[in-house]
Amino acid sequence: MKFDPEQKFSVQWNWENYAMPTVLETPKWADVQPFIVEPGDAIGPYGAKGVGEPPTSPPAPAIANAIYNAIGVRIHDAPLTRDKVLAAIAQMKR
Amino acid sequence: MKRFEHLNAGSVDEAVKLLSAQNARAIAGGTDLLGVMKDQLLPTDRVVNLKTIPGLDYIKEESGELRIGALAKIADIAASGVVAQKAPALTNAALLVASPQIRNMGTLGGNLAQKVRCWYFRDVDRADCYKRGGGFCYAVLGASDLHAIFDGAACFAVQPSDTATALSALGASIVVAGPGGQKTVGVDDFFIGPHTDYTRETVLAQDEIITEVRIPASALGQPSLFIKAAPRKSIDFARGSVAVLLVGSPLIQSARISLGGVAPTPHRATEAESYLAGKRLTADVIGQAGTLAANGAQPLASNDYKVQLVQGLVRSALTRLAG
Amino acid sequence: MADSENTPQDAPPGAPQGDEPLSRRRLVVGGIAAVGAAAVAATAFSRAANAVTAQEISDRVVSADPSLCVGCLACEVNCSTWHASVGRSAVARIRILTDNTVKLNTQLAASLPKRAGFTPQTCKQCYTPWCLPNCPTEGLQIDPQTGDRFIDETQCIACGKCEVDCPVEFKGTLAYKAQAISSKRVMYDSVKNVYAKCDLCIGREGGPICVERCPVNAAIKAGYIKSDHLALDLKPSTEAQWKQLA
Repeated sequence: MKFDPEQKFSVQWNWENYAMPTVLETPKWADVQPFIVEPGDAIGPYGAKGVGEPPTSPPAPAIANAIYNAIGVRIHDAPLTRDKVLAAIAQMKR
Repeated sequence: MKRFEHLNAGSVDEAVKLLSAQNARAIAGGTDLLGVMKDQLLPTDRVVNLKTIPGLDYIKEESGELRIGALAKIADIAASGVVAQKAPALTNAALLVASPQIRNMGTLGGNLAQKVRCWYFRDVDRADCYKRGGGFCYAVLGASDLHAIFDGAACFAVQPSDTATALSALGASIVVAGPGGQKTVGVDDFFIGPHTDYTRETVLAQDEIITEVRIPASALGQPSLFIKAAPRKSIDFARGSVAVLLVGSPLIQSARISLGGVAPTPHRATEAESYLAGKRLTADVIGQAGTLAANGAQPLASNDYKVQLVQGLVRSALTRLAG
Repeated sequence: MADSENTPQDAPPGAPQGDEPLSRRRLVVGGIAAVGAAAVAATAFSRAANAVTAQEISDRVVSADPSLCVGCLACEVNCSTWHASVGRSAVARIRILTDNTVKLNTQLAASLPKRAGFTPQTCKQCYTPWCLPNCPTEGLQIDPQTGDRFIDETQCIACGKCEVDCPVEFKGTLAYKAQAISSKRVMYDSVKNVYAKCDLCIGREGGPICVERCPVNAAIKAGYIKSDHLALDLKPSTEAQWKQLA
């Protein structure tokens, strides 16, 4: 979330400026490989688990790790936008 | 939304007359105006509907030029075979405007006359900026990710129209109708910068409307291209964009390179243009042209990335045209 | 009339010739009064009165600290817009020139590292108003309260003598569109056919609009930028101050 650096109000208070990724930003189905891990946890019915909320946590750290793997710099500030990666590359070159 | 009157104009002359009332604004597709009204950015007491004016949505060749009526929908321009063949930069741009729904309603005239997207301009509750009658620009020392790296003066909002950038490279002109009659203005003169008048983006007075856009014979059929860099693959405005028109191949006779989203008006990269004249598009030439296109850039605190973005966009566009 | 031997043009900006042109003026005026042309004497005497009190320095001149200037051009644009709004020439009377020798203040340089150095320049409200003596009308005047040297544009006949006599230039490259500029600090406006110069926004409540609208000034006043002085300020135009101005 971006803020005016002086008066601290948000400049991303609508869907235009707070640019949530859309379906067009997701990888193509062909590029996504599902791995289903079945631990047999008996808490849910027939060992079922919910998959609505938990998947929202891993993508950001996974992408941050991928960036580190690619350019050797850790970015600790989401969203991991292109201008931040550019700045990180410049930092790394120094 | 505050009360306003809505009047249908049956002709260009009628529209011009109706627009002379206080706080009157023209509406075509309404894809920008309705947002301006709902966010209460500019007082609007009267809305003059241009959609009831017949015969202004054509795309045709006439007198050697490609002429497009101001009410032509962006979607129709994007789908037009003659535009794709004769002025591909405009096709590219039209396809990248906003989203399919907006392209179906939005018109060329509206796309050119739209207000800026600066997040301070559009924030009535917390920012009192020059363009809304205030006396300050928050972007100068504030959050300037979206803002100009060229030609900012008092106000640093950028020109958001993709079609404007493409038309600037194509050397197009815009026909404006007003109370005094009709006049034709080159695209690069149609857009004015804040140094001239920060309350307006274009030469249009309140009671003037665009009626037609003309692409000259000198551009038609020549290789041209428009590419855009934006956060997402659809809907977003350009953080930077470039339109290129080349005359002469493989030895370039002349080039027009216009940058969008990085200045208050479509910004012609004149140093890069001059450099390209008489050259072939080798890797070195392309690289140097990209570097020159960003010459003179004056970044603010958070838009430094636009300098490299401009270089990359120009190189990318030239590489595609070369290949 | 032997007014030409030691005109203000000959005076190098850094070494003023005292008030020689004004002394001569006083002699001339005294001579006319002696002949007894009353109406002429009355007019000439009021000019002389201005010329005499021209000894007073202007209590304000726009003074910039280039290390605090980010070249946003708010001053230029507001100057132009305000003057046009009150019917005066829209020529910007403050110009920002790029200047690579200027190092931006540390705090500003940290957030705006790529922003080149800038130097704001305006009329220096010279303690000896070189532009005034040869003005043939009531155009160039000195405000008796503040010492403000200003042009009443309704009286200006655009003869250009003030421009010739002005000892200071804008010289270099403008920040706006990197245009080269070489002109005196009093400038011709071809649209209104008058000469224009910084008039400290005479008649404006709140004084000079450039000082009021400078965003770095606003940030300093609000405490976001730490500085014991403003980017654009108003100082008395003493001889010492004059020498320091860009």
